[in-house]
Amino acid sequence: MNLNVTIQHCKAGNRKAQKAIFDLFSKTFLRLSFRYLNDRQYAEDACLEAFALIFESLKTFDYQSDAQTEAWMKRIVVNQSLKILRRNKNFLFQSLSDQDPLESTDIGIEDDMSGREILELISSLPDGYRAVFNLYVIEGYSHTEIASALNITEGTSRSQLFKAKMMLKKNLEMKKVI
Amino acid sequence: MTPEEQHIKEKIDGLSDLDVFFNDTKLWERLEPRLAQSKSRKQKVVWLWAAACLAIMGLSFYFYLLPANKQQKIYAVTPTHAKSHATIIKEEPAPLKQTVKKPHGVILAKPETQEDSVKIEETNERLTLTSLNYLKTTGKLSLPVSTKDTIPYAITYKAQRVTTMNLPVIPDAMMKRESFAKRAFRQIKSFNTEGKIDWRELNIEPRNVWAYLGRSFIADTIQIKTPKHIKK
Repeated sequence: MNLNVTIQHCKAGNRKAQKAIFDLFSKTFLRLSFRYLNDRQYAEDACLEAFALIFESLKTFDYQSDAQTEAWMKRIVVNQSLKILRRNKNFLFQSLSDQDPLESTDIGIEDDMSGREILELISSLPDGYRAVFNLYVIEGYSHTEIASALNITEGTSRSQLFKAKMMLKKNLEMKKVI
Repeated sequence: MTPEEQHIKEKIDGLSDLDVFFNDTKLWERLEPRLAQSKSRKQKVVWLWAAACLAIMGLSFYFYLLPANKQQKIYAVTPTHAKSHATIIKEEPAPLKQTVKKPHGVILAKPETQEDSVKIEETNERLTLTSLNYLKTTGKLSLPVSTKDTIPYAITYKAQRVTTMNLPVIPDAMMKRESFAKRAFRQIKSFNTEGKIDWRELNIEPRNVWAYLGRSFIADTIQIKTPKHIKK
């Protein structure tokens, strides 16, 4: 499927083209929003809102490449997921004190661990930690971008990431013991 | 990004339906009506804006034109007796002297018998607006207005005593109407100069004398204010 042509049809309001775009990205986007929301129903809601927004915004979208288009769509899905997360759950972001170390820590994930196991580990994190971890490690956002997206300070973002890693490490160790 | 973080990202990105399965068939069913709804909602919003704009424009036009309409309606007063006199005038375009002479003598007590070319008539405060000639209008009334458009209303100001003088149109004589009117007024004034005529006795004490020249009352009317000594 030529994504550029399909997008042009979408701009004209072609329902089949919209369905084709939906079929192409829906599963990826559902998994993506699920990583943030940790709830299937919320993930579906986020995807619905994201797709509605994508089809609406496509009218003014300038296609450059498939990767750029997918990144743009993913950003919308992430934003919608965060929106739902903010709406339904309370973040408990806590900044670290100055004495706390902020150097990079290894979680201790081994190479033979599957993606599903890693996903389960991430899902066990609290909402705030999970959101920052996802944004930083998987989406590749900077702390500045995360701070802006979550309406927190950069320091808080860094501390949330550090705590998330610490918690993942702890959970992983417990899992190994079990 | 550390190697471990890179490793996590690769593993997560590589997740497939076998790892996390989502049934997205129902999701499209939920999304489709929403897309149509957003389209119709957009149309509704457009229509609402259009209606609001129309309403605002309509109201502004209404309020802008309302005072003008009112004025127009007040001005829409038919001159009733202009026509009838015109016929008399055409039949007998007698010189002005004749009429001037009549009140000069004993006939002063019977001013209503005047039927000459120059007709002097009186309106007083009891007259309604429909019977009044419109005196202060501009060129708007040049077209005949049907009596249906006439709106009677209570006169809020004190009506002036007005005398209308219809002057004949004599095409052959090529008379200058303005000079004719001026001469007529001079003669009217002369009644009072030597106490030969008492306007009050005649019951036509005019404050303003208007001359009807030709067919158009408005365009050819000249207002000549009577001097103060006549007003007395």
